[in-house]
Amino acid sequence: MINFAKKRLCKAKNKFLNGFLAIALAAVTLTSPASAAKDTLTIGIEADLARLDPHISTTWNTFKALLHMYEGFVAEDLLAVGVKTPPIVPALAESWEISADKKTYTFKLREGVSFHDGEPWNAKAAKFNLDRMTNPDFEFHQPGSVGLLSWVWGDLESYEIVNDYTFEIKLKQPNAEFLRRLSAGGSGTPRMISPAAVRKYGNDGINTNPVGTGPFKFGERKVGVETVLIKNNNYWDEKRVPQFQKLILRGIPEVTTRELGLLTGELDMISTPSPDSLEYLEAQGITLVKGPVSTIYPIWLNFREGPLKDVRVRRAMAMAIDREGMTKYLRRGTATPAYGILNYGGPGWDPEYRDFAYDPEGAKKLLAEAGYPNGFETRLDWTMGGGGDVNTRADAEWLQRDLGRIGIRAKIELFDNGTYWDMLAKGTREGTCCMQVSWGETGFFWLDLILPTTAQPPNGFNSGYYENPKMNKLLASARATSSEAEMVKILHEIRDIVTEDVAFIPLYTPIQVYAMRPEVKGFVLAPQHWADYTSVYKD
Amino acid sequence: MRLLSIFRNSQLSEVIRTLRRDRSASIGLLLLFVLIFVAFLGPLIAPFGSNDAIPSLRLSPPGTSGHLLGLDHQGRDILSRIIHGTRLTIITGVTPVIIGALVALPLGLLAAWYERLGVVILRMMDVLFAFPMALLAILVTSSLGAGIINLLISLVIVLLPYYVRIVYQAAASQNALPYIEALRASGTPVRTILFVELLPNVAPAAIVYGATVLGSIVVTAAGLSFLGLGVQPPLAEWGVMISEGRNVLLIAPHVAALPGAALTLLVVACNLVGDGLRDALDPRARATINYQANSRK
Amino acid sequence: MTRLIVNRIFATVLVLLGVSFVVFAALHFSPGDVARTILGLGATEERVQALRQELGLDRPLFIQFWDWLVALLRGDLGRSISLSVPVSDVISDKIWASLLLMGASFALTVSFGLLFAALSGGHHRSLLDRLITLLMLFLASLPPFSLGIILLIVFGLQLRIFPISGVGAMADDATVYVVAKHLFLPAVTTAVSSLAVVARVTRSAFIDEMGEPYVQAARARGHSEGRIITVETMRNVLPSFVTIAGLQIGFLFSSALFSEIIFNWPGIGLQLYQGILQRDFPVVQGCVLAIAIVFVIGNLLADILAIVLDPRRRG
Repeated sequence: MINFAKKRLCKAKNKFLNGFLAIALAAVTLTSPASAAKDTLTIGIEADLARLDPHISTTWNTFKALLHMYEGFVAEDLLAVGVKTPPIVPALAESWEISADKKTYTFKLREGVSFHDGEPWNAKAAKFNLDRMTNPDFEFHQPGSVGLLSWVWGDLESYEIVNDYTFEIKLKQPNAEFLRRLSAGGSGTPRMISPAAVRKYGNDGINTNPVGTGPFKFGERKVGVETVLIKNNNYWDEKRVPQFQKLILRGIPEVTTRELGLLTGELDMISTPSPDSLEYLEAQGITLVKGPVSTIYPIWLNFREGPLKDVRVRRAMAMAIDREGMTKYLRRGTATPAYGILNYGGPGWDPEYRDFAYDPEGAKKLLAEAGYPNGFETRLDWTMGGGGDVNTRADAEWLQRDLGRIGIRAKIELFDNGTYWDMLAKGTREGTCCMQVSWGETGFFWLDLILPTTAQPPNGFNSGYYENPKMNKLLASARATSSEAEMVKILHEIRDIVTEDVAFIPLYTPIQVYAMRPEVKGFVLAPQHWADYTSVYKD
Repeated sequence: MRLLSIFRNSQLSEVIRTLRRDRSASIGLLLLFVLIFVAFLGPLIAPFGSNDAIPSLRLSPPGTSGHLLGLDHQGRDILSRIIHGTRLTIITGVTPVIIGALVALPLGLLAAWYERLGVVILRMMDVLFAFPMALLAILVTSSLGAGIINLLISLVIVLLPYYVRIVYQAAASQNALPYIEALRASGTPVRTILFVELLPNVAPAAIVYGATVLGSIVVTAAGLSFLGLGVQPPLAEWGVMISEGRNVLLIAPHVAALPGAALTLLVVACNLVGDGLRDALDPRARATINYQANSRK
Repeated sequence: MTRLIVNRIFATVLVLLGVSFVVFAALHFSPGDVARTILGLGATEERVQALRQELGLDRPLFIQFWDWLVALLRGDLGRSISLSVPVSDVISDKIWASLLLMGASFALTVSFGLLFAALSGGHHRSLLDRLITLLMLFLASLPPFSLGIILLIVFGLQLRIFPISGVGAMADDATVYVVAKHLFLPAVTTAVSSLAVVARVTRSAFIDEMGEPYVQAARARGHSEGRIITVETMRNVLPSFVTIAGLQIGFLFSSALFSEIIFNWPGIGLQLYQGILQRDFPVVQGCVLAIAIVFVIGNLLADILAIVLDPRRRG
């Protein structure tokens, strides 16, 4: 390309008339789909990928690529149809046994699988990866993963190689969700990297040379433009062998650019078009696939920020926000108000639960009672959005107006999604009252990352410094439960305390939307933040 | 007191007279006055507040009853926001041109009077010249942080090299004139020579330059707000409005296009006035000054 | 002439040194501690101090600048904070995309600028002259981000004649035709206001020349107006045309920034925008420096060309 550009440049400078001729020609010809090639699937996603090292990865968009390149012991079956939560299926472990005390997991590893670089997958490779994630004395330890993956390995006691294809993991206490956590991703993922690749490229080198066992191999990456994945012809699972050669993930933060790219054929598929354009896109012959997703938009409140130390102020803020209006008008029905910290698709979600009623007058009184009759000044640190997010800046402006009605004057500062997650990991800035990302998972493990005092920065995403030691105990006992009913009971207790403390203000639950050109077929929308693209083909 | 004489300066009143005879400049001046008038009255004449929203009417097209120019993605009246936005758009565009001149005048005078200091100042300006205008502004705002004040600071820095050089040249040509020689010989303090005698004679050059560069500074200021480095939402400013409208371009192009049209109108007005002023002052200057401000000469 | 050119080159090297200092200093005068930013608020003071030492932030400014400059000459611009890859990797292939856009915009600027100037200045006070003058005033006042969005709506969305995202042009198998098609809207957006300025200034030069005795002599000899404009006056208009066209390079860079963002053109301007959004200062620094260097060198070339072309400075 570079050479080509140079040549083109010389031409442009010397004989620009030639260039004009070509341009004039272009003007009279209608646009033809640029990505018409049948063996390439180009997807416009909401942001460019972040780090490609799975053990220190962040953002859901990054996991859209990682889940196709790397695998763990188990996985969620994203091609399962008609489920509320994707079922757990074997991946690099063929089967497993759980001891009677639920503390020992023995994985029987799949034989005959090799990494993309030819390195064999076996118990040694598994140990190498666990060392990398959890053992600070290991030569190739990745320090960043300790905090990031604490939600997976927090209960880890020990691990060992039993034989070449048997690997054992011992936990300090039972964890009802352990397999679910092993399959998850988004903020760190316990997936397996080729040990040979780590040795060859070094710990940092994995970001630019990712090597796993998945249905796609890493092709190339143009930072800020696109990442190309290539079909893995030796993939072990026949059901998931890709239907096309090249998967291109293009990060396009501007939703209009994404939509236009789809209309003109530059892109085959996009995630998250704007709710405002859905009718328009459909009228243009674009296929829309909509479905529920295990996502919630909670607002983090900063407990260290002056006025917010008073629970009455936090409650007043919650009462000032018109969630119903927001989902109806701004989201045009592609979202429903969320009540309580438990998310749709996760354990314990209750459609009947209600937390704060919209009551700006009551909010004003409460604020006056707390000693702020004229409100106060603060700041909303917001992100322009990542995977699944729709014009979050408009959300921020809506909230700003809602808060303004009770006298809270908030400035908005916007950040790119990758940066924003880093900021969240470092804790809410001084002067900022609120932050928000979309979260929620198919398990409750994300609550382990945002609620306990042990998850305060830099060890988690309790980024507003919520201090309630009860959370640590309740979450631990929820993990240790042996029946679903018991777990849900504890989760409801957690939810009620979070509401009472007004630690978070839940905003809404979105409906996720993918839009694709009519010739794109076979896409399965999982109730997850990402999808399995191996089933997609072009007609 | 002597400063007032700039405005009584016979050359300048001549300029104003010529300007009034120039038809396109008069149109520009009229347009500019109307816009400044709107900026002053803003809240009084706008039908709605700048952040008042009617969510149920979001994205309604121009002509919706009661909303001549339609509503934006939050359900805010676009006409009202354009009217409210006139103020910040003009302030962020005009203020740096004025402050820039005030900072550059002493710098340029000192540079012309003290040779060694002059070399240092002019070399520093050379370095600032080496950045395309918007780029330097971006560098400054992104290191100082977004916001109106930092936006103004960055634009003043962007303008300085051009202003300083023009003041320097004007002052240097005056320095050789007999009356300065006479003042110097008579032992008049340097301060008096520079700021009482020289200043009124070099100021018109700076004023004319400011007028010609106004349009492009207005564009750059709005551009920085468009990039998210200047005025922050939900404040109404045209660059911000254009940027916000990009999200709904597909089904409501008017949200971005209308503030874009308003901005173009303002810039046309600035350029008409700038052109007229320049022609009136020095018809021969046509070929050498242009209002894009990136001349390095 | 040679001495003049050598002087110019020497001055350019000094300016580049100054430019790199300004870019370097911008990081240091920005509020907030770099080490603190990297580690986060939760980090202990010892860790912050340790990182400051590791990054060399505790040493005198000029020593830091020297190290930075030496690294720069080796092509090392530091590491991106958000991606943890070298900044040079992030921006290297984007420079070509930007130069391609710049080249096309510059070609549009000079060709159409000259064309309009000749049409208008050659027929001073005619209806055509007035129409072009009015059009040029309007075009010169069009902010690139307003124009870009209007072109996007009209040609990309309503008429669907041109693609609206430039990324497709950068595909490995893109043909000249595909590239040209993707290039068209961003290049027009970038060029329009510079084109109008070139046309306006060059028009004045044409008008001045058309009043000269040699033109009347040519008319008396029966030469056609077309020949007079394209041959006789062109030679004398050329120096001021080259000067004003050279001056447009900087303005084109500023405009290109916006068209890259609006049309998703994967150039250095778009990268700069993303760097700003990501608060990734090393990337912002790298992009600004890259553009400034290209700009300074572009100006140098334009100056040399003007010196070579100017008959007064020749010989």
